[in-house]
Amino acid sequence: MFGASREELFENAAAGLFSLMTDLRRVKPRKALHLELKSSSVEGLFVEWLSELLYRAEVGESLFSKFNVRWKGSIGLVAEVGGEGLDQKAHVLKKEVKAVTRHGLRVEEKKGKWVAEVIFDV
Amino acid sequence: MSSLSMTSGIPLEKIDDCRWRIPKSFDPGMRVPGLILADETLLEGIRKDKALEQVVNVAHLPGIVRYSLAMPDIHWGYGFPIGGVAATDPDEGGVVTPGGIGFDINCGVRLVRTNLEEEKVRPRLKSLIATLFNEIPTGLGVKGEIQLGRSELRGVLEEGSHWALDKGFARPEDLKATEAEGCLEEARPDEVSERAYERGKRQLGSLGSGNHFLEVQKVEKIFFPEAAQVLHLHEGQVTVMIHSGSRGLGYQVCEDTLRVMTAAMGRYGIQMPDPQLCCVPIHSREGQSYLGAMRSAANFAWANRQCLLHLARHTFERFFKMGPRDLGMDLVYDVAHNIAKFERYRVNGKEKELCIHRKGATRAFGPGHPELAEEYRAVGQPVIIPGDMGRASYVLVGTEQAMQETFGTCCHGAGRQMSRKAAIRASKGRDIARELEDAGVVAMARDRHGLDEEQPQAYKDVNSVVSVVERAGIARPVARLKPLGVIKG
Repeated sequence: MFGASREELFENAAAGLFSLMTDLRRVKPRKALHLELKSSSVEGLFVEWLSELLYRAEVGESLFSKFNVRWKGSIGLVAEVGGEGLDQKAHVLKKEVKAVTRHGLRVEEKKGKWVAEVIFDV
Repeated sequence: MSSLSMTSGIPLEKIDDCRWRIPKSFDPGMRVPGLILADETLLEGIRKDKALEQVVNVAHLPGIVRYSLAMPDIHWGYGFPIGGVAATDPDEGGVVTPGGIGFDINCGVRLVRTNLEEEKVRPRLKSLIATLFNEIPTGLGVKGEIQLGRSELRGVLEEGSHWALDKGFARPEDLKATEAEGCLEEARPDEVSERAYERGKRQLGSLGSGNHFLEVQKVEKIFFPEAAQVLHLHEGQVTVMIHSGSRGLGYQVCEDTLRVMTAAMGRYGIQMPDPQLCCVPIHSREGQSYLGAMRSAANFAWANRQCLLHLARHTFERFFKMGPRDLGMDLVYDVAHNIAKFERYRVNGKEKELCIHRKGATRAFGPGHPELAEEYRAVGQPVIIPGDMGRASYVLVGTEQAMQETFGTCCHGAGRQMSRKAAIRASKGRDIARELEDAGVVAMARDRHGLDEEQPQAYKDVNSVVSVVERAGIARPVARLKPLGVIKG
């Protein structure tokens, strides 16, 4: 996963996560979700972010397709997330992602780009 | 004793045809040696991923006793290998690690016998599998049959299968045929987060996705007639196998704990080579909190598999228009294969209570163990080993050798040999459902890549894995089961 900035990396990672679960083109941003998260490390925040989205999707029976991330404080973020209720008929349901693991996790800036490696449990 | 130098740089000393040791001297952080149960053929496959490195990492756990163990189905996992076993001593600074149990706490498998023979089922197999597929909730975004309020869910976390019995989803004899009678004492539902409650309240009685399944099988071959008689199994008989776990609730317990333990480890002066192996002393506040939550999630998983059995029984009764007595869908046994439990073993001549972490490994108590139901005490604990959708699954019984050598533990399945990505690649241009049907197996899955990922070739040959288990003497095969039809998430 890549991004020109930390924010873009986080947005791309979220889109990548949900593209494993569904066809993002069919998920309309009808519902908005506001999230504020912080952590003690960038890696920790990365896992928190993706885990939070998975949790919200599962308990809210929703799918998300739009992600807007702003950095806040030393290691924190504010995000506006768009999506809609999961509809077995309207949405293409692919794989259930069950968890975001910390095994082999890497989030770093490399040659002016932000790069992350993360393993999802499916 | 001969020595082999491996491509991964990890030395393996051959003890006999089924046992290999990674010497403690290999890595200064290792507190005990590694012991891998495998033959040379299986070892070839094991060397291809990082499972051996993970055996080494597990040997770093504070308080680990005797060795870091690997079953013959070992393969790469998150931090702890799948097929890994570690015993830690609470009185010697021993730790508990959620990595040694896995995200899916008490993922496990149960085997159900029936009074049906293959001839009765085969002509209506497609219709039976389609009916099960409609009746049993599977896959992404599908809720369980049973919706629970908070206090009801708390009851599930405290009582496991006993809750199911109270609600009419179980028969008393089901509990006798379940490891720990489907309930771990000292579960502490107060240690389970609100988030875990939220995830669990709509998921009881659902199969889930990934490698979880419900399979209709036939008993293909009996190897140990005396034990088969005790288990009421005979050739040609139809059986049902259910593989599922604690669903989102167990995942959330693991996730909550990883966060807490990662932060707490430093306070206890513990460093581990992999963040997924974070751990704290068993006697610590965080350790006790996790054990209480983990046991609660384990109880949820037993109640879940019990509710799935209840659904399967009803589906079979309606489909075959037979009553429960004629259908005879009795539970042979239910085993957990992702769990930590406190059990007593002799170490250096002294009996000790140890915390046995089994991640992708099955308890396999030998004959005479007081925890076994009286019916099974003479032959040993039934061990249920699912294979893959095409080849076979096995029923074994535990042995005294397992009690002496592997903390009463045996393998849990065939073990993956292909990543999911590689399996999808290998399916290009093929129709796995058709291939299975040509081999006499009807398979239905929610996920369009579900069958590709779980195709038989993605797994090691379960026959080879069980052969090592038998030769090592840690369990004895009773019966081989052949798949007839399967539903997956």
